Amino acid sequence: MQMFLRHKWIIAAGLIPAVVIYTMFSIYPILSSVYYSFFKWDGFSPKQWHGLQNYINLIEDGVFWQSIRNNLYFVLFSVLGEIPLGLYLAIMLNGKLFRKGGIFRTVFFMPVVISTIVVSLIWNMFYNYQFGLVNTALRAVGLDHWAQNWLGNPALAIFVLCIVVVWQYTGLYMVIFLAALQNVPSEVLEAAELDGAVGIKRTWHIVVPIIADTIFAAVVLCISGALRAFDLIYIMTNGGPSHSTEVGATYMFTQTFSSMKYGYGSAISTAIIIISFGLIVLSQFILRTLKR
Amino acid sequence: MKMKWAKTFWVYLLVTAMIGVLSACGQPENTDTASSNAGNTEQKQVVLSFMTTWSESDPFTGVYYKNAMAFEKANPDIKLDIETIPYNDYGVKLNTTAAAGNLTDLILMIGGGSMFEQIARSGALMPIDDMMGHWKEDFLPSSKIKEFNVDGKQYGIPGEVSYATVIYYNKKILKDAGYSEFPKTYDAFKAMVKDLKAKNITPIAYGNKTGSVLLASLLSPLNERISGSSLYAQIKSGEQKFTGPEFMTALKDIKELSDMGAFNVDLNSIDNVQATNLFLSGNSAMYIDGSWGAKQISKDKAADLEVGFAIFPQIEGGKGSMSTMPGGTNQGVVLNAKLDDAKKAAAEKFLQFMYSEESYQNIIRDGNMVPANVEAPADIDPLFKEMTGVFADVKEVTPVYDIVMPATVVTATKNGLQGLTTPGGSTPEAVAEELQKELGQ
Repeated sequence: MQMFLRHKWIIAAGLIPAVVIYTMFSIYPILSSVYYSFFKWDGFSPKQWHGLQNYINLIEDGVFWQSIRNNLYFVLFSVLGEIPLGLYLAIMLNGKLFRKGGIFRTVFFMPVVISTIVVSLIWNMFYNYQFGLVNTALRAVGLDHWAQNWLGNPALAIFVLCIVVVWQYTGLYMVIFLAALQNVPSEVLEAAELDGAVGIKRTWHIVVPIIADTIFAAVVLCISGALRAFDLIYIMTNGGPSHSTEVGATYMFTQTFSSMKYGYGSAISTAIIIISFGLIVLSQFILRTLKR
Repeated sequence: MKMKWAKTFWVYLLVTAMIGVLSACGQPENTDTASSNAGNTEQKQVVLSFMTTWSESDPFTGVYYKNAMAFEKANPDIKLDIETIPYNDYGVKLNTTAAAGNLTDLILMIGGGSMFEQIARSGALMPIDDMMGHWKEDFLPSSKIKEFNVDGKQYGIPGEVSYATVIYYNKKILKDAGYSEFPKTYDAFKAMVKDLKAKNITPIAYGNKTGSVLLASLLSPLNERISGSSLYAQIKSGEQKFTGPEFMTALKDIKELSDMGAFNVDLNSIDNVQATNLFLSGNSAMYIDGSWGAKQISKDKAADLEVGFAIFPQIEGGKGSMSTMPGGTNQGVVLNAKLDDAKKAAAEKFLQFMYSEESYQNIIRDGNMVPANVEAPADIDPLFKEMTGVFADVKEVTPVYDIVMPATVVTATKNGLQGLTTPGGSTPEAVAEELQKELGQ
């Protein structure tokens, strides 16, 4: 082992296959996508140099900004929904009340392992205007005028989708936090209890600071996950009606593969990369300031 | 010091040996398969890769799949390597594989139109003019297969003809509302819609989640009735505009229908299948879709549900008439330009079989109209027979908008129509301007 450490190039040699594959399937496509974004190209005809025109069009494209705004809704709902809820559930399950109730852990984690396609179809049925569970329940208790065409109402649809995302991924963060909580030394907690820190006070001042690093990691995961959102929306609303639930990834997809604007689609994906990167850096900055 | 060198040496040796073993593991296997392949070639089996939407259990394309299987059975020396792709994803898949130059040997073209023409013009497909001798003009009129002809070269033969708009109606609901006959004029049609709505019945069920139904089955016939069949060609050539009065009239008509509550509230959130079920369960008086919708209706309808068929009504003062219908010819198999002689011969046999009199009869029996002059078999579905009876008066098939418009405009139109039919959505003026802008780009 020591010898491996001293001869760093052996380690490097071992890494080469991974680096080659990563470059081929990740770095190269990203770079070529950036390259294509400077062309007007329908995928068949020869590429025409388009300079920065795609980016100028992008900045003027209202739908693009709407899709980014929807992405930000996803990020907000994920970070402010999944993380607190996940933490709450984890603390509950870690408490004395549910210590032996492994079944709850399974139940809460279940949505994470169900395929997104199945989740989408189930929730599509819930939200169905005529026969859906949500509207049927509302009608049953006499709230007929609350019954909505949930996924077809441009003002509501994106938030309705956010609820599904929170439902789907809260379990994941719950499990992550649960693992972190179980590593909190019991002596610390006992000492805190002796000093009179119980309940919310103990959670906020003792437990949360101890697992802060896990929470920060979860936030980053959450942001990148929300920015990548695609499959759920593609199946549930297809970005519609009329772009109201479009997110960056679905807009890029339809522009590239349905409208066959490969150049413009590449410009959108490049913009998404830049915006995502910006958001991650921003969140890191905020979290670091919070930590201090 | 010496010890360390020795150690290093052994590590190198170990690594080299491991690489040797790994690559050796790969090598003999390769030679094995190569030799077994060589053994197989004695039978001279030709394998044709084939990308398609056809699948055995699909009500729309099952008959083509079965015809293809019958071909394989009759020709043991030819094997089809079928890759089935769901209908909704097919356009994307076709597009990307064509752009990447990775097309299969045989490729299904669901319809003619701009995407097919673009692929054909790129040189990726093989013209089949030298094979056309198999089909006589009186069996397969060239006017019926022209959608698969690009710049004078024939690339494929369609399996069926379909109309983009059929109004399916629930005879009992209309009768109860006082309509024993379907209205012949658009004004009377609108009056009926209003009447039904006042009686608290959803007039028309649409499943426009993907955006394609309103485009093909409402915008196309409206334009056809208002402006005749050449409006899009005029818009394309610059003589007319999307923002011009004729196209605007059609958009305003759709907005008007939507505002008067002609459609199910969730038309933009449900798909065709769900909309069909709405109609079949008696929750709407009408259902509008292409002629392909008849199959699901005939398959799933309750025995006592009486379904009527109607042609999109006449618009008074318009240039079109009820003897023309927007529609298309579909399900043509085309050939990859790179086929070698053996594969080309096999593909020729395949086309000959798939578009023979017997295959066409199977297609008719399954509830489709065909481009070929073939006698209809006696055992066809009575419901389907009734529909063909209603459409017997249609003399001319005019192009559907989603087939002739370029992809960018199609996508914009789909979104525009969703906006028009969404409460608080877009105005006809905004939609028309957006389309004109897309066309200009």
